[in-house]
Amino acid sequence: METQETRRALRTDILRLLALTGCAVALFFVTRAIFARQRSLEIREAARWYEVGESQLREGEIASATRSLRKAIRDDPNNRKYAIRLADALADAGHNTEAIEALSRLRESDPEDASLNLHLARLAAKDNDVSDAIHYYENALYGRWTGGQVDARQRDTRIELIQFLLSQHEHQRALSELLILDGELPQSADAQNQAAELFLEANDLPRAFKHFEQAAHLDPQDVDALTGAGEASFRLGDYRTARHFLEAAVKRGEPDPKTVRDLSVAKTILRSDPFAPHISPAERERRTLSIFDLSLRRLQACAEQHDVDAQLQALRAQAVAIQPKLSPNAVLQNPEMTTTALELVSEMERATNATCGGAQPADDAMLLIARLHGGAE
Amino acid sequence: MSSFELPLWARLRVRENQIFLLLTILISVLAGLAAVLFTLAIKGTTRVLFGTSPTAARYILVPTVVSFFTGFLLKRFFPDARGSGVPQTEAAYHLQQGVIPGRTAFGKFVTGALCIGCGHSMGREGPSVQVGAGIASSIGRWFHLSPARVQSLVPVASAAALSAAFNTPVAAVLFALEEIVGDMNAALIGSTVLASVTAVVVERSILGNNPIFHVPAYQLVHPAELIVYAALGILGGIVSLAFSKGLLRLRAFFLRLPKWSTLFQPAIGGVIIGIILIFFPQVLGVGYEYVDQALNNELLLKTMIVLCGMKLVATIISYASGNAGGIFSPSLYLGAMAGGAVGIVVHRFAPFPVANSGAYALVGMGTTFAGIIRAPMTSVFMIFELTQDYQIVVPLMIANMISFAISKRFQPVALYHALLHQDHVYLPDLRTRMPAIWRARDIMLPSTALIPPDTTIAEACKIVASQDESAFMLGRDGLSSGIVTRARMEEAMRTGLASAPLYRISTDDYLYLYPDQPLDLVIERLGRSPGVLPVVSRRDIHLVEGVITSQRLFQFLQTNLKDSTVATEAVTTTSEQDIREKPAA
Repeated sequence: METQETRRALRTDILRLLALTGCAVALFFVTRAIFARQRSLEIREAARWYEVGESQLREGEIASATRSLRKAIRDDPNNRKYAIRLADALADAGHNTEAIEALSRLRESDPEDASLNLHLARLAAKDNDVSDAIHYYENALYGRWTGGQVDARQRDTRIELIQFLLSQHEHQRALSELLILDGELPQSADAQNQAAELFLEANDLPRAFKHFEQAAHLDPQDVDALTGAGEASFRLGDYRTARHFLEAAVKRGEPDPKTVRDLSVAKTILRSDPFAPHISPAERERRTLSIFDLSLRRLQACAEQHDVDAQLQALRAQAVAIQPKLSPNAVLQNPEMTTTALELVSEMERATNATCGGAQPADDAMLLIARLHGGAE
Repeated sequence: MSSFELPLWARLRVRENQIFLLLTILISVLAGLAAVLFTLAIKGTTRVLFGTSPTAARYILVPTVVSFFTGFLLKRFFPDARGSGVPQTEAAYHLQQGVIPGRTAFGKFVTGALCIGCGHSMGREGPSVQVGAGIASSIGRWFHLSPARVQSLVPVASAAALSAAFNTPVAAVLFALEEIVGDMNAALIGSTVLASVTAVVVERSILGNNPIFHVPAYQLVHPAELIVYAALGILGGIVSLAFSKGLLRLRAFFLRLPKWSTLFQPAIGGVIIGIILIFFPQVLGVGYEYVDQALNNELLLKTMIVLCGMKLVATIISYASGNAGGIFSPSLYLGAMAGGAVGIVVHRFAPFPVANSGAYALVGMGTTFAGIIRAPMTSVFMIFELTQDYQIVVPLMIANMISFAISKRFQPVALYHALLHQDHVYLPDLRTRMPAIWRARDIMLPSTALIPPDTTIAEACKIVASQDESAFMLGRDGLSSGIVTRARMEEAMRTGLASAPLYRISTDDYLYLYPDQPLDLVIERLGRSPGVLPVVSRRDIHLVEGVITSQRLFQFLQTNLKDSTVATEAVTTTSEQDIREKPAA
């Protein structure tokens, strides 16, 4: 009898447990459905606030836009687009710290998101926070990219990092990144030009020249590439190559004054350099005397205007004293005289430039020749 | 031997043990789902009632009209659903063997969602606890579990509900043990842990694993900051005191109003809240988004100070006027604002490097929680769980303990218990809950005749003439209103006050006992009483369940001490026989 009662009690318990389980399962799905519906409502609401914020931004109402975007984020806190837009709006309004905080919170949930890291890097760069900016740029470079053209966007990010490093005078780190960039560059004149510009800024002249030359090779009509190659070779002291590219650049477009001047200087150097190869001793002697005379005349003209300048007067006296010794025979017999003369040319040009200014391409050329062949800085 | 061969009581016990584990899991799932649904219901109500850009008129109308409606529901159908739900759950656990009617749970869900959703500055955690406990209690009774099992389901479901509502499973377990059970060594730890984990899994499977706050990484920048955290503990204690005292005073005021006005009291609160919302919409409802902003240094000093003050006022009004909603989240809100404000001030003026204001907001949350809720261990673990950073524990403990000590010093009764006292409900203390052989309910004379207070003294003397007691209870319908001694009555007769009503010579300041209080307390109180010690109900202090007189105590001890001696001898004899018989067996 008791056994039957117990069995009945157990049966009832089992049925009740099953009913309760059924209730729990049903309630679970009902709750999920309610949550999903509420969530979609919130997302719609967030999108509406985002649109309002966007239009306010277009009208320049940054404070109102910030409020609207905050509401959008309140309703859809995990939406990256909203957070990034809010951060941009805050940054535009000068609230950089708040902008960084808005993005940092989002980053917590996904620290490897490349686009978030990139935005944070830009904000940190704007704040001149070098270590954070570099940290976020690197996170962006090695983070997870979504969407198309990943390689191009990664390359652009690296270029942005290099530009930031150069602006902060971190040339060594910039060069490291440039070398990585070197290996990733596509065969296009624009990309080669961009890399060459960065190498130029980082003072890696040979690599700058290589990329400009490559760009000019890919597009012979590319004036930027021709000008860049000319400038790089000019700074490298290869005036013949410089003349070649600069002449090509001048021929193919509206040349800028610097290009014209550089071309003029290069031509003058090639015409006047006493140490140029394949010239006769007589020609070397002629060139030496010519640039010495030119330089001395300019110094004397300047010294007459500034007769109280003791340094200028002393230099003039020294030059006038040495001039008779620079006879054609003396230069021929004693090649050291050429070097001595060039050193003095260098000093005279610098002193004249410092006191009277108005250096002409020929003056620049003389100074460069003097520097090139032993003229002390 | 199979369980079917056991005696019936043993089989029932086995069955109950087996069912209890399964029920714990199922109840945790249901309590967790109820908590999630409650959160969604509040959000949905707010969205429906206020829309996206509420006008000033809407801010006033919505809380007023909805509070009037909930006031009707609370008065007519769900009188036990007012307020937080945590004190009611404690009372049900300690005084009603865990019985919480299903209707109360349902009523709490509906009125709580409406009250908080319509803008009242209240929390969702307390109602979630009561709803969860109500579900557990109803299911336990449906399964015809023993009263002890039904009782033990209450903290289990409370932990599950809080875990799902606040997403901090460890703190939920501690809260159930520290606050509901009142004993950290309770045998229910296993079940509460299981319940808490189950509920949080359910909650995360629906809402996702999103923390309730985005807490920045915490750091103690300089050791001198510990002094600032101690000062924050003092401020937290002061804010807690202001909140507790203010709430108790305003609630006492509302309770003193005529009974018919309880229908309108929530609406009065609604009007005031509406006016506050026009100027400070940030205090609307639970307000966790602003706590989040304080934690992330997104609020200005002035904003935080103003919001701290306005939230304090708004919550006191919402709660005291009899609406349904808790004080768990308002206490965190107050702490976050106060702490954030301290953080900004320190950041500006401290001569040493300090953490950002978010770190102070975080510790501030702990200080007010410890000061108002008086659950310091829960507070420490809750913040630790939010940050998941061990570094915060030391400053948090310093600040929490200071706040707790200040709050306890100037408000000796914890707020939840003081709120129950206002409803004439008194929970047993730890000493009363200790095992005891005899309690007041075993000793008392179960019924006593109360003399109506308006009886003349002469008539009263005639009534008591045949009795031996030296003092008598006054009252009607089982509800006491005072006590009068025989000596006082005789003196009144001598001084010509025979026709005066009895209440003129009675006093309502008398010693009493609760039925569950132990024998030693009975002896101690009886020694200080005029000879009669009423035993009153914990659920209503005016309800006299019996009386204890000196004579009754002597009789009881004479009888029971003799019985216990006989019983002890019998037990001893049986044990000796067992020992003697065992080798033979």
